Amino acid sequence: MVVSPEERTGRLHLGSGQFLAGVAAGRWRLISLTWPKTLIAISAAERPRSPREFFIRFDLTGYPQTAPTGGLWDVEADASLAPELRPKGPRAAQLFRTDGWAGGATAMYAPWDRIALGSHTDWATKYPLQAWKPTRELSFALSQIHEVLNASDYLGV
Amino acid sequence: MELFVHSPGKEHPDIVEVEETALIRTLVVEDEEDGHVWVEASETEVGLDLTFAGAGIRHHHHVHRGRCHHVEVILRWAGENHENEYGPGTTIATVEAWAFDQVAHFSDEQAAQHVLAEPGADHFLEGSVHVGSLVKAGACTATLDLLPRSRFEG
Repeated sequence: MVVSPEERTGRLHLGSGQFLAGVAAGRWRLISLTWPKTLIAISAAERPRSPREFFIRFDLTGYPQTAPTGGLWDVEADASLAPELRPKGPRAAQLFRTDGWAGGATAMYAPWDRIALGSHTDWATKYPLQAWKPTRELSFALSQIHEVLNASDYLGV
Repeated sequence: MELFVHSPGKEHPDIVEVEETALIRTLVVEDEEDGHVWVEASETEVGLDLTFAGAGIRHHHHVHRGRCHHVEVILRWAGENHENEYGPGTTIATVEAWAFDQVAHFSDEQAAQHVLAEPGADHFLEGSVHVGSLVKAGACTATLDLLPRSRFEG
């Protein structure tokens, strides 16, 4: 079986010290990888009647030259997570928008997401500290998402 | 067992496989100036002739390998420099606690809206990074900026 360079890089990054340190710390864990689809659980702070982790289904097509994209996933339904079950709070609700943004069901409203970057061509220069670059690893995005889901302004679902 | 080994010049750890009964010395190159080891968050250097088990180092523990016994952190905030000294295996999360609480006097809400970054860097520092990983050749200092976190708009 021939593995593409992007898949080889992706698998390498999913075995890097940065990714595995996050796994060991309980920040995230790999659920499945069927290239280019990658399902990862990211832990969230304890909030009433809210899950302790959310699943994000990434599409890593073109990785890492092209930014990843991914949206919240309902593992049991094998479908995008229903809006009422998505994380709330100023930044969490903005990251996982439910207000009709075109990418809301499958992408994140952030400069490390391919769909959001594609519709905001100024974001790469406007938010250079958080915008995707080919030199970054998927763990960069996971870390940003984990921070939002564990910050004091995260309110649960 | 596997250890996460942090080193100067690299923010994220390498995974190193060692035997519990091996000497800590196996992590360093003999006579190399980077040949000192600390357990994460501890300011006490670990003896190189102890075994990992004897030093209490277990599977997936984080250790720091480097030459600086202390790192002087220079925090730039509101036009002033603020300094504090840490062991090299101190995490950025600990430095953030000092910067947010004792320097900037942030509320929890304000703290959630700020981050630390090296001057000119293209990313924020994650809480798990060791300050000893930020030192440059010939120095045992790390300069950090306290910055507002962006809210994406447009």
